[in-house]
Formats: sequence, C-alpha cells, structure tokens
Amino acid sequence: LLSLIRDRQIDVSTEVIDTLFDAVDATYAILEHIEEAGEEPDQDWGATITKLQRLQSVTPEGPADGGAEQTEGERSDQNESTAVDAEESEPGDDPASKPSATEHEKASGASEAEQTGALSDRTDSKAMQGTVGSQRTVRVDVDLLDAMMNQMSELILTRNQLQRRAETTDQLQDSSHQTAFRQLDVVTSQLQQTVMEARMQPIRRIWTRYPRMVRDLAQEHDKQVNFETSGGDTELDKNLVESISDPITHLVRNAVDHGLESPETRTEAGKPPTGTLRLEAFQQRGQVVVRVSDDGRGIDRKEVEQRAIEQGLANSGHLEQLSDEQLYQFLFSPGFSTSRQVTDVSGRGVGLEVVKRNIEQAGGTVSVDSTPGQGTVFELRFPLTLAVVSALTVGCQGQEFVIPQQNVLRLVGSSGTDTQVDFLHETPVYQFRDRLLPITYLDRLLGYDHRPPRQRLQNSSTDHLVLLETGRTRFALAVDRVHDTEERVVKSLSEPLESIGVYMGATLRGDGQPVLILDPEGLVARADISRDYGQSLPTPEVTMAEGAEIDEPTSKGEEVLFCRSRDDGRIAIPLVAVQRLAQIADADIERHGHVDFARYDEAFLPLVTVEDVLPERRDEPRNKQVYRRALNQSRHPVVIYEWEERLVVLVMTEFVEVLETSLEDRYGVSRPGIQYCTEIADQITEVLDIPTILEQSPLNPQTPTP
Amino acid sequence: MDASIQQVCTFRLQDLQMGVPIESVREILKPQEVFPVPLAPPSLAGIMSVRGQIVTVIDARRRFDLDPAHHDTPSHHIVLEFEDDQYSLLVDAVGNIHDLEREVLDPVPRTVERPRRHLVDSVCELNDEWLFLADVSNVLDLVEETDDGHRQERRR
Repeated sequence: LLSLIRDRQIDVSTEVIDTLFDAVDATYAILEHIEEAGEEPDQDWGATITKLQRLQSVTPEGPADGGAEQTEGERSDQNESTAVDAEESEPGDDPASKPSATEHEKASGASEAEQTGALSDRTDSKAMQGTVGSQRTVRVDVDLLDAMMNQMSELILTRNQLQRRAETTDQLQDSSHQTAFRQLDVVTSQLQQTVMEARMQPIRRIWTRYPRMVRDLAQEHDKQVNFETSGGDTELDKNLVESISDPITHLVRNAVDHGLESPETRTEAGKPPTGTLRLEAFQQRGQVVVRVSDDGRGIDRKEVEQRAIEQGLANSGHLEQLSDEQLYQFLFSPGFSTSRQVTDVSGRGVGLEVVKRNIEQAGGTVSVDSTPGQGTVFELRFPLTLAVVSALTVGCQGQEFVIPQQNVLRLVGSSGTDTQVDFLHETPVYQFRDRLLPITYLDRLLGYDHRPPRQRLQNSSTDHLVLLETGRTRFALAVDRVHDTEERVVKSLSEPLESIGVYMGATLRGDGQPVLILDPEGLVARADISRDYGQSLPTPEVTMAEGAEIDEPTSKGEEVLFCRSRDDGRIAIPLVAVQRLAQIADADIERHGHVDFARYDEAFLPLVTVEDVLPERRDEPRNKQVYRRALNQSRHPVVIYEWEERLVVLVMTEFVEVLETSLEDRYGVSRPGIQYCTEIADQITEVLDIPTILEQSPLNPQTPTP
Repeated sequence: MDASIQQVCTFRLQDLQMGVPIESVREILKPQEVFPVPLAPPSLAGIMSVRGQIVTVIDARRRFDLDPAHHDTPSHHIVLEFEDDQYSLLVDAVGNIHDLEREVLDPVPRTVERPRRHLVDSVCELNDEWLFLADVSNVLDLVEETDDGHRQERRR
C-alpha cells in the first residue's frame, strides 16, 4: 500500500492515512507484545488488514488480487523491523524514532511528511548516525546532571562569599589576589553557563507528540485542522520541558475541541474551512514564551459572564467594568467551563485550572487573549532555568528581600513629596508610560506598618519604587532601599514557608545569611491588585490592609473623578476609561487649524475642553488665551483618554477627588454629553459621557505631525 | 536494630520532658541566629542556614502551646529532616539518647491539654517523669495554624 502511495497510484486521502496510522499503532502493539512475551500476539488485526486490502482494491490501477500479498508483505515488514530493533542499539532518544516507525515513514515518504513534519527525515538521519557509529554525544544520567547543577549552585555561593570578603578585607586587595579572583569569577560564570546549557533541550522534543494527536482529535470531531509549529529549536531546562508538556497537551486539545469550528460553521462565517492551530515558542527577556493559538470562534464574553454569575464568582454589576483580559481569568477558576456539553476530551471543568496550576508550579504564568470570531491565544511564559536567577535585593524594615530580576521593569527613586506619586481616591498610584500603576508598600504588605498611605507619604523618608510585572499585571512596589542585582541560587522552601504565599524560595547571602525571595505573583494576590475575580480598583483600606478585610462588597456603583469645571460647575468623569491624569503647561499647547494640540510624551495629542460640547458652558470663543485668562494658571490638569485607538486630552479646571457613586442615587438625563447625574457631597453633579463628548467635539480626525 | 526498641532524643521544654524519634533527627546545634519571616504562622520562628541549606525554625514552646521563652534564654536547635526539607525545633535544652521498649509507649491520655495532644504520638515514663514523644509530621505541619488571619488561602 505504501509503495502504491509512493508511486502516486492512489491519492492520499484522510482514510488512507487513518488506516496507515492504525497499522502503525498495531505494529507498535505487536512489537510491545513481542518484547514482553517473545512471540507474536494472537490478537486479531483483521479489521486493519482488511481495510488495507480494501483501500488497495479500490485503486483503479491497483490489482485486486495483489492486496493480500501486499498485506503479507506488510506483516513480514513488521517482523523485519523487530529484528532490526533487536540488533541495532537505539540511535535516538526520541521515543517516536523507533526503527519500526522509521521504516514506515521512510516508505510513506512525502505524503506522511506532510503530517509529521520533519520527523521522518530526522529519524532517518539519526538512524544513519547511529549505525555509522561516529557519535558526538554521550548519554548522561539525569541525576548526574542534577547533582552537577547543585554543586554548581554551591560554587556560585562560595564565589559570592569570596567576593564579599575580597571587598572588605585589605589583605585581599593586592593585585595578585584580585587577578586570581577575577579569573575564578569568569570561570565560574562560564561553567555555570555550560552546565545550564547541558540541561537545555529543544522544545521540539515534546512538539513531535502533537501533530498526531491533533490529527486524531480533528478526525474525532470532524474538523479540519492545519497544524503549524515554529520555534522548535527554542531551548529550555530539561525539567521544564517535561513539566510543560501536559499543560500544552491540554491547551491543544481545547483548541481543537472548543476553539475551532466545524468546516461548515467556518464557511458560513466566511473563513476557510480548514482551521489553523499554531504552536510557537520563542525567547523574550530571559523568558521562554510558548503560544498556543487558533483562528476559531474565540471566547464568548457573554457566555463567560453568564457562567461567572451562575457560579457566584461575580455579579453582573461589575462584570461590565472588567476588561476582557480580567474576565478571561475566570476561565482558570476551579470548575469553570463554558462548554455546554461534556466530551471525552474536554469540558469537564477541571481543565484550565489544572493547566494554570501546573504552569505556576513550573514557575511560569499563563494568560489568554481572544477576539470573538477570530480566535484565541494562550500565552505561557517560563523562566529559562529554575536553579539560578538574577535577582534584585531590596531592603525593608532592616531586612533584605530578593525579587527576581525578570519581573522588574524599572527602578524609580521617589521621595515623599515627589509629584510622581498621585492619589486616585486614597490609592497611591504611579504613572508609568501611559498606565497608572497601583503602589503597594512592601512593609505594609508584610505586616510591619499599618499607616494609611497618604499619612505615611507625608512623613516618610525616601521610598524607592520597583516597578514589577507579573503575568499581565503591573504594579509598583515601594521599598526602603534598593541594593544590587546578583546571581542568586534559588533554594526551595519547606511547606509551611511556601504556604505563606508571598515567598517563592530562599537564597543565601555572601555571608551565609538566608534571604527570602519574594514571589511577585504572591504579592499581587496578597495586595489584591490584580483585579482578578471582579474586584474593582479597590479602596486603599481594602488594598493595603490585612487579608481579612478584603471581602468588602464591591460594585456599589462606579468610581468617578470629581472635578470642577471653569464656571465652577460640578462635573465628574467615569474613571474606567481614564488612561492617565497629567498636568500640561501652557507652553505645550499649540494650535493647528481649528484644533488645539498638547505636546505630551513626544507626541501631539488633540485637546478638547468640556465647554466645547456642553453649550451652556460655552460662554466664550475657545482659543489658547481663554485657557490662560480664565484659569489664571499656567498648568492645566488634564485627563488623557483613549478614544478610537488614539489618545485625547481633556482639559479640566481642577481635580478634586475620586469618589464612588452609588447606583441608587443616579438620575437620568437626556442631554447629550451627560451620562447621568448623581449626588456628590449633597449636590447634584453631572457625570460626563466622554465618548459622546468626543464625538461632538471639533476634533480633526487626523493628527498632524508637527 | 531491634524493631522493638525505639530510640528517642529527649529535650526539655518548660517543665516538660519531651522526645523525638531518633530517625528524624539530623543534628543538634548550639544557639544560632534565626532570621524572621514576615507573615509566617506564629510558631514559625524564622529561617536559618546550615551548611548552605535553608532550615525552617519552629518555636517548639509556641507550637506545643506552652509559655513563651524568656528573651535571654538561649535555645538549642534539634534539626529534623522531613520530606526532604530541614526543620529545626527550638528547645530549652537537649537531653540524651534513650532506648525505649515500644511496648512501654502508651497513647496520650485524653486529659492532657498541654502540650497540644495531637502533636504528641505517645507517652511513657522515663527517669521518674513523663516523656512526651512528639509526632513529627504533625508538629511540622504548620499549615494548620490558619486561625491567625495572616495566611491567605492559596491554591497551590
């Protein structure tokens, strides 16, 4: 049969490949049995054989009576390969590269290469290498590698100790010592690199498992899947390769089962009937990123919302305020499934929770992104290696802690009076690029300090901010001092320490003193700044206080920024859409045509005033002088909005404070530009409908370049 | 080793004589510097390093619900190995190694409230006083100390 395919006598159809795979499976089973019992099993492979025969007989050119003979050939082929198996020392470490598989794939040539990628070629060349005998590799026991890694860690530790001593002891200051020490330093670093490389394995090793699996699944669910992989050369630590295999399997299964639609549905939606499933790996900022993406139906926001409510994870009020990303985090909650029916591969509700846990255990993070109708992307991030991390040492209340460098975005020195720290309501925030990052005080988080942030800001000495990123959450961690960055050997923690939740390990200082490694993920959970599970931007009492107070009910209404407009009117802006609060100087405002632009962050952003839109507030012609005269100030508080994918500056007169409005106190209004009215401090205040305002503003659609 | 004999390492805690099975004891150390761990359960005294290993230090007096030790009394460390992790019990003084017949070990009387009963495996009489033999795995299971409100439930 295979030769028929090779000779292009019959077309390669799904059925043919199916049967071939069946035959391969059967061969494996027979081989296994022979290995165990030393004889062929008496099981009946009749079905497969008949199928093979039938396939051949349907071929117009294939002689019908040759079928049985060919099948016999197949059988003898199997026996041959068994013999080969016994004689040949196994050339590759890949389980799929067993000689029998090689036989088949070699024979099937081009047709199967389509399905299994470069597998057959690779196994061929490997087999060749093996038989030629010129081996450039040696097999090493994994335990040995682990032992090497441990000893390496100790060596680094000793080097760090020496380094500290060299810095403090005069005796070691003379040049011969220094040269020797530098040499030791270099060699140690190189050795560390080498040992780590020895443990690295290309991710391809697990990727070869998926094409077959995807194929079988697609068959089962009557779907057409084009499976693509890239970045198989990306290397990561051996243990990691093993531990991420299962989560990826799960995600791939989900994608085929839930993600991709049936060919009919796809065609209806105007998409090619064959869905694409991509598996990619690459390195980015000291991390390995693995992406599983499909171009299927995407995640239905409505459905997730509904499930979240059904399972009591959130109420409808604040689900609306969640970004897609925050909402998708529900998918990782225990027992959460949007699949309406349970299949044998997925939908049983234990899925993504386990994926997330496995990945976190391997020190990684997982996030989801999805566009309804266009597909879903799961992104996993892992550290390159687990045992040694580059880490930043920070001080807090006289104690040292260590933060993995890979989570550190930037260090900021800030003092208590510095304007860099703003307050949204009572929550201190730091503006970084175009985002507001919540500030978390490490000493508060660790239970040392209980003062409210505003009070401590007024009379504290200098705080340093460490901007951290974990998964997709960014936040600023305020610490007392920042020390240096060093290579640190990570030691695992005992169960009681681990379960505290904010430490991911410990490490030893040069002088042997143990230092705890903070787990940024854990800090986020503790400070509750991730806004996962439907917490709206929490009030500081909730954010910063002890865990017990966190369960305060949220979503009483929405948070608004209460401002004073030029005519002393009381207006408020919903906070949800605010990108950033800023001050803009007169000098930075320029007029182009009939629109004002503000220079901000190297860009010119269009400027809108509230008066532009609300007629009763428009009392004077709008020009640059108006701002200055009426405001009598040279700097204007502005709100920066993202509107139709660009940033827009909204000029206010004065920021007063951030408040939460309650739903009960809302009064509807029909005036354009006003969303609703509410009572703030016993007075009626209008809450602006920003999108409407911007639509009606005389904004030039193009932003001219200066 | 005779299976009917249980070797124990004894120590003193307040006015009590206590012991741990010798199999779990790794070493005995003089007073060491212990570094506190913020947010830890109350009886977790901190961590220290012993030859490059991180050791979790447990304040045995607090763990067994006894009076806290005076600040100036030095505490000795009994370093235990349990499930590949090293722990140290902070005790007032380390006693001796004793061979005990297994059959003299009795279950803990229900009337005993201090030390915490579920942390004690068995009792017997030794040198004219009670010897409380600690249940190592229960003693080291600090996760049960969740009532302090510090710890947050984490899915791990």
